[in-house]
Amino acid sequence: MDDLDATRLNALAAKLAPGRDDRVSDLARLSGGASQETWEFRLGDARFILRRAPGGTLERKSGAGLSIEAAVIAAVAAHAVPVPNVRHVLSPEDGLGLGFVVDFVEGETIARKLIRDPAFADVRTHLAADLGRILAAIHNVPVGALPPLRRLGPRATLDALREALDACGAGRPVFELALRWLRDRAPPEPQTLSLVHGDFRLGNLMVSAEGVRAVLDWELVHLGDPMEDLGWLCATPWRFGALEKPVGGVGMREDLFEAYGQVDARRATWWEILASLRWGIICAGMAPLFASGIDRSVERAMIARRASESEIDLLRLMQEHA
Amino acid sequence: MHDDPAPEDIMAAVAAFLREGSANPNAAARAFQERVAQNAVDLAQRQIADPTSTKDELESLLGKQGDERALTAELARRIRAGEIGEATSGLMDYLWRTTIAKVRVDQPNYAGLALALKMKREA
Repeated sequence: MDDLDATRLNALAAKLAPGRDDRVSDLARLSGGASQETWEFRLGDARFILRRAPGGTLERKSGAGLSIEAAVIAAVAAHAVPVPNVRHVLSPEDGLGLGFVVDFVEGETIARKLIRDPAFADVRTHLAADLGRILAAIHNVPVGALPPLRRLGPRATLDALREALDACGAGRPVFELALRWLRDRAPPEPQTLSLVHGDFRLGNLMVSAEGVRAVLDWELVHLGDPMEDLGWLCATPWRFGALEKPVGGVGMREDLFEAYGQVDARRATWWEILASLRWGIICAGMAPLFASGIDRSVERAMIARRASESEIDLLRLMQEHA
Repeated sequence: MHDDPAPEDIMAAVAAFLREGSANPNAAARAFQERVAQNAVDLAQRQIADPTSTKDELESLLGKQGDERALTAELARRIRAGEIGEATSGLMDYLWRTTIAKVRVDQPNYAGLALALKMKREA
């Protein structure tokens, strides 16, 4: 199993639950999160989550970095954004690598369950509006309250996609066409850049039967066009078959937009189409990873073969929005 | 026309998984990996049975001969360079046909495929 030093984790107990003599129990690696490790553990009755770089040290270059992520979570908590309480940011003396510890938040993150499970039927009636309000709160966080973040508007995002598409290796005519199509229709850079979560979808939310408990996975946080988060949330891949419900397969755009406030629908649509290209390139990028032998798993191969889903979505979307 | 990894590489990964078993001690994670392996065999089977070739169409679109993979890369390069685009006669039909054929092998039950086909019919 993966190496997480339980002795070192025990040494954290004094910082996480001061004045008590609890030992770490029920340590388990949670599934999900390919680019970061997520561990759950208990100290007595208290439950915690550790987010850590893979193997403790390997940070993804496209991510904000774990200490920045922790600082953002702590900052947005003061601005009405539901997030887990950050308890400790790992320091070198902890000997556990790069990462941070938050309080465990109970709820569901599996999108398919949130979309279909009867237990969430009531939540689904107001989830789109709730997400609109939460996104508005995120985008209104004063930039001065945040740590330094990467600046990624429409142009820089297109450049990053160009680079990622080149890394896919094989020629991909539909993705090339979509990239050109998006460039030709790119919105002007926003006059001021806002805090953008960067991966705002059901799979990164902790939702209970009452509603959204916490916004998770701030790994791709940056300063950018706020419409990016709205477009990403409405993108076809995150509807999991419930295509008639654009907001993550659970709600309608009208409800999301109304609760959000001022929406530039054309911009949001542009980001929504870009989201299909971005997801498609992520899938296609698995093929060289598989071929190189870094990851020969069946799962990796099968994700690579999902790139064509984005291609058919892009052909449809380009025609719809010609 | 079909994307990587090729069926033989997918089958090799499935074989390795069956031989070595899952390293994951979590039963739900193992069940998930087994489902993925079943789907992978189905995909490889569909691709082996698929007679679709786009070589002739690609050759007429590009006005040159070659194997399918090299011609697809050439098509991507020309689209990138702006030499071929939406307005080029035959391009969009070609992309639609090949993409539909690919998704029918990769993920025939994909909801986006049904939606795209419906839009095409109504267009």
